[in-house]
Amino acid sequence: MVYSNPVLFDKSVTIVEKFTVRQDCRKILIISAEPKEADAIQQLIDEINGQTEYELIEFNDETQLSHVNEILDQQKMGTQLYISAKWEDAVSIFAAAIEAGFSEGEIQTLISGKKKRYVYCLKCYHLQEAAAEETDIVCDHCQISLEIGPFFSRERKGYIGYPYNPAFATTN
Amino acid sequence: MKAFGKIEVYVGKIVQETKYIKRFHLYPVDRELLPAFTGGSHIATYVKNGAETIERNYSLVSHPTDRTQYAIAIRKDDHSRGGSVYWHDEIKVGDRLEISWPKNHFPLAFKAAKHHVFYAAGIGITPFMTMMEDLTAEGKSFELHYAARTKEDCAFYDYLMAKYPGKCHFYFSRTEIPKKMTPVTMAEHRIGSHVYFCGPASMVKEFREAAESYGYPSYAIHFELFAVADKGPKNPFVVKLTNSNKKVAVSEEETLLEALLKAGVQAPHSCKVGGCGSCEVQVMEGEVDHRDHFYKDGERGSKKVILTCCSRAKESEKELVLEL
Repeated sequence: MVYSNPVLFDKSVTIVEKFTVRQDCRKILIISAEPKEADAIQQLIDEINGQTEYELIEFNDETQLSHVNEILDQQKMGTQLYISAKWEDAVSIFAAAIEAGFSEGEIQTLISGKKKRYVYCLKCYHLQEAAAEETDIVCDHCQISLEIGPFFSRERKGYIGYPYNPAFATTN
Repeated sequence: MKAFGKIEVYVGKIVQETKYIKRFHLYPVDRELLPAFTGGSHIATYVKNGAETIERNYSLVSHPTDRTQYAIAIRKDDHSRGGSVYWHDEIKVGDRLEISWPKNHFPLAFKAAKHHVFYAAGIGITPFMTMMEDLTAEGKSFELHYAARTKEDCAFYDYLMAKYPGKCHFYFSRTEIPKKMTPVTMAEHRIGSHVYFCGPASMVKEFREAAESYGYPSYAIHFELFAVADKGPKNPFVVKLTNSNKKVAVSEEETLLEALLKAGVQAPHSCKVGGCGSCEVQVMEGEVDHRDHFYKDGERGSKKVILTCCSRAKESEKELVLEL
């Protein structure tokens, strides 16, 4: 894994509300780990309408999901990948796809349920989850106050949390 | 050591690679080491032929970590503008010449690619020699597809077979059982592959179009040409230069860049085949007949620019006004 490889985060360009078919591909690979999104996948298959080869792989448990690397490694150039999963599974499948050689432009991700947002502490590098609306957070590890910045670090897999002293904080 | 300008070298060794290809080893005259370079780099060579200086670009084929010398491989082309014929017929061991610092318009997509696939036709093998050395040093995955007329015409055949066993696929078109290199193999490359083409314009065009049709993203397709693609008749035209207040006439036999340099205009340039963008000049007025392969289709319409090494005025009757 290269440290600068793309990772899935709440604002990733690959996250979509609805799958769309791209005309410039030879094959569509659909990986579904979320049975609740069956309608979205059926819509995609309807839209493909037999015009492009497609393969649907459904995972129902984590044991099956461990085979995802093998499946992704076998894909050829010209394949578009569609991921339908809950956040944690989507993050794993996405990472495996990047490792196999897919670029972000070749992936669409449909998240079932909530997306997660992570912040890392610039003092101790601890990574923790933060709610979408939070602008400040206290580091679980070193207890320092952090202001959540706009920059996402691919290496740390989280937004940068800038330490500050709340005693000197100004309120707007 | 100066960071820019030309480097004086002498020809230390000449090796006849095939009937039509010679390898020239160039050694520095006034320094111990030559500048470092990366896979895919080339140099411009400046050879004096009487009052004329023959300037040609050649890919480096020597090992990128060997800074004691550079090597270039040149195919003798009797239909050329004279550069390769001069190198083959006149250049001898001991001759001195000037070269540029190495430039790389054809770099490897090191970080992005999982697997690199090279397609070479004839002397198009040259940039891949150093690219494969770099990839080997980094432990990266690659394969080579290489077309030549016969095994005897295939430069570096023995070297490649010995150095990269299992990675090289040769296609000889004039043998008892002819084998043609076609783009079909690209359909089988694994996800994360980047393809690189080097050869005649027709070959590069065929492989680029095929790669796009197979769904390769544009950033996974890389190529280098030897010459400007033939895109129709060349009409004479006139350019007006706003900075120097000069008018320069361009005949049908020459490029705009050649006419500008002949007129004493310091026009920027490098590859001379419409591939690197170094010779870009802003267009103030007039329509451009774009003949480059540097810009994307959309850019040609939206940008008011011209690459002087290959593009021309759309209409002979109307002047092009350039910010130069």
